[in-house]
Amino acid sequence: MVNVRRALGLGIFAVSLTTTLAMTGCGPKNYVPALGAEPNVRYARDKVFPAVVSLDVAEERFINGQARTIRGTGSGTIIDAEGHILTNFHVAGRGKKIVVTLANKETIKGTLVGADHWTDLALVKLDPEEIKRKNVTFTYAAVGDSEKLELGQPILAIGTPRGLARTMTSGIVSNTDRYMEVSSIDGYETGWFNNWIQIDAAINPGNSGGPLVNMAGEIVGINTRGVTGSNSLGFSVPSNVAKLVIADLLAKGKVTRSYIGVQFQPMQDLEDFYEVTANQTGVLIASVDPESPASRGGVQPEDVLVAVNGKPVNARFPEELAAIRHMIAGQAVDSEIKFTIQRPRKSREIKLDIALKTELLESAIAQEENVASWGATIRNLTRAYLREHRIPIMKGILVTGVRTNVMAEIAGLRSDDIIVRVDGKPVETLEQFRAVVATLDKAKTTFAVDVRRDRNEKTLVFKP
Amino acid sequence: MKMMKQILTATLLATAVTMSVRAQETQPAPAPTAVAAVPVAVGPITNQPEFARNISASLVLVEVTLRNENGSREEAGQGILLNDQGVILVSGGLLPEIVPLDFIKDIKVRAPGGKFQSVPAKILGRSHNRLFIFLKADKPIAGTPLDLSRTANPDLGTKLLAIGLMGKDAGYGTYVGEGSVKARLNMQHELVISNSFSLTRSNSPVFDVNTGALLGLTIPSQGENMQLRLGNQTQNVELSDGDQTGTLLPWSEIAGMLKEIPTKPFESKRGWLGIDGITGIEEDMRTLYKITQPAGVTIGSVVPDMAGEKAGLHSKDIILTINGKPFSDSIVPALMVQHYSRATMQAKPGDKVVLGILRDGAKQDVTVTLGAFPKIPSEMKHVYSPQVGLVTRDVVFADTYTRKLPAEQKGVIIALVKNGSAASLGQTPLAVGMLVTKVNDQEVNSQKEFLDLVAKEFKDGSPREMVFVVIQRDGATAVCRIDLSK
Repeated sequence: MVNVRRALGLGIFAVSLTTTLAMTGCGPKNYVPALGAEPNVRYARDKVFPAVVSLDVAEERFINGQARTIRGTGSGTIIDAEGHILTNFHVAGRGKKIVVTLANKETIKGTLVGADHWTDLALVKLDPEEIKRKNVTFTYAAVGDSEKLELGQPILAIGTPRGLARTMTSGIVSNTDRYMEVSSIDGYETGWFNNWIQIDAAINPGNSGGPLVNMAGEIVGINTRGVTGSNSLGFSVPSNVAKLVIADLLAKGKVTRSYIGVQFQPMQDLEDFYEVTANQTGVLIASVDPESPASRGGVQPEDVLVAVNGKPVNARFPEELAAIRHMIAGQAVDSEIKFTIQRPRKSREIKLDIALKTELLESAIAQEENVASWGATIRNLTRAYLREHRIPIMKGILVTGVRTNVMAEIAGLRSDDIIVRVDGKPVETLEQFRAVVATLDKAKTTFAVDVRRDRNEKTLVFKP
Repeated sequence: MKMMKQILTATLLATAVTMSVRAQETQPAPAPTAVAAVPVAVGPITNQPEFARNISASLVLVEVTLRNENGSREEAGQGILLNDQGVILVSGGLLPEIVPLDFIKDIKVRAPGGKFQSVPAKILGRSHNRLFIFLKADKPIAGTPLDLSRTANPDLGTKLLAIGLMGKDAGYGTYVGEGSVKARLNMQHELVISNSFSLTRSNSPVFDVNTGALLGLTIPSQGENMQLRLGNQTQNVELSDGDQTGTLLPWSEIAGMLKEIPTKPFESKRGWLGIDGITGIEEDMRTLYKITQPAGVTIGSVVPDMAGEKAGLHSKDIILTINGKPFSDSIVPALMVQHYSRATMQAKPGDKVVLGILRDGAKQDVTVTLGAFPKIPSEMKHVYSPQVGLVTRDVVFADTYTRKLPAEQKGVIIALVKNGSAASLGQTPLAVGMLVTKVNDQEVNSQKEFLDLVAKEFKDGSPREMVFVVIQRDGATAVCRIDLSK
């Protein structure tokens, strides 16, 4: 499999700054210049540029058990009259305080509506009270159809590279369907459900979240990644992916997806071995997660998935995997999904249908919180985390950081410990944990904490 | 720059002067037939040159070639001739446990008496404390077995003399190192710290200057934050003294293992409790559980189906005594663990050991019949399949344990992928550490099945491709195809 990320040292872009441009003129409606014709940059610019904003974001992150405020800047685009701003998860998805600088340089408070790290997208909203109070106006841009993009098509990128707000660059579409291996943003899984639009317009840290614009003045992508140390290699999340995410974030504040528990591999060069035709290859199931719906249903490595709910699936190339993952993830949670499996060669059954029940797709990472009296930070323990670390399914609280020279560290607590009992009481949920800790904080007596550390169990003595 | 050059030159000169003072020419040894050990001087070492010459007759140089399908390298170390059967003691660090036995080729011994002509040798095995390796020369060695009749344990302040051989580039000359005992450490092994023996090699015999008694053997160490390499292990020891230090293993740590010279290379005859994650108890634990003795160790986990689980041990049990006695008097948790290891190091499979444990505040005795320590990867037969460019071996316990797989998981482990072979190329190359479970739709449960399968696939010429199902180090499976078409 092509590992573009490892080969090219991909970086995720996010940074900061500001400027202005006079905006004049407009072009014909629905104008899309023919490939090769001189693009009407002015037309496209006028439609989108006034809607592009800079985002100054303060996040509270816990590093080694210590709360730290991390500031960063990125870009976004206002996409409706309510003042919703489309940007990246890694720009604003964990933001506690967001200041939006409009194209007219006015600053307005923003609030996070919702975020989706799986596609690295987020939605922020302009504070309507402040808009009213400051009597500020804003415009918004349309989200276009990324499916219609062509290789070589002229595009614009607008954003805040290195803090230089309201910067516009131009280029062409270098690839409409770039595959990249799944990766993560501080442990948050990302890049699972889409391929990328590759462009050669200059984008730099700070451009993240800003729009990729076609000559019709529509947002066709959200500029997200670049290759460290390279020129002219930028990557945008397609707008058609964003449309689905926007709808869910507006409706529910989050995106809900299904999980089955299989990892796919493309079939290129394996067609003969697995006796599939080049036109109908199916997709190879390379791995089945332990204790997943797929494993419980009897799906095995080397099964060839040929149809999902009766609809044929094919992936000869890695570029075709994201769509299959997206199809499965788009299934309703706790619903039945039918896998048609081909078990090749010596197996007795050639084709069989397996009915599986989807589960909620969870991140290995859950919301972090501070346990001030201990000097540690914790998270809920998710099944995804347990699977990833091949820990048998269990309940407990995950330690994510420990400050130095405070009670927890002195007791010997470490990051990645799983707390199972505090003062003899099982702690299976954050609520239980908080309740026990609150009681102990008042009592101020020595207590024991039982943890699981990798395979081992340990008792630690906490002395307030 | 000028100052740096001056410093460098001064250093080189100092070394050259020291070398010229200490270096001794080798003298011809007695006739190259097996001879009994010549007793060393009784009483103070007054004639150092003669003493050094006598001792150097017991020292040999050992050269080993490590070779596999991706290349070779040479390792060299000093050996000590132990008896007139040509048994030689070398440091375990010369051939760490991670090196597959099958990669060890061409062991040669060079002795002063034979004018350092090489004599082939073979491995007998590793000492029970894992610190040394026993070799046996294929022909008689022209040397004098080291006199082991007068030994003692070094005390603080004892003046020391170490004798060693220089390497090939220095003409295998004898050299000596002087020092004195600065400290004694009681860790997983007893260790003696001296000031620097910097000119002597590892595995040099060390003598008491005042009595002529053999006190121990040098081991590698350097600096004030020492990393001691003992056999397969590295231990960190922090000293506050700024001087460089030397380290030796006292005779008390060596005597016992010489009574059991192995006869089969690297066969694991260690007893094993089957428990993991051992940690020493902290003071707070002693207070919480009202433990009156200073030391104990807590069991982190009990390995399924092994001796400890069968005997009823649980994770978080605190082991306080072994066969009725405390195994440590240290209050330092890390040292408790080392002392525990030491107390159990010599146990054999089948031995019964009574552990005095504390569980949930209550004491009890648990009798464990030790199982055998599982085979380690380097002990397994490594076989090269040239048709596919892979060296494979059978799966051992550590493979399934580290990958968190069921203990009964079968397959073969890829130990080496030949550079440039079909297995190393392509979109989904094979890699070292992968556990192969299936090849060309046939299950592979053992090395033998794998080799038979490969032979069968290539019986009538090369197949166009081979498709492997593997379990990777992180436990996830993958499908790897190698293209064998010309």
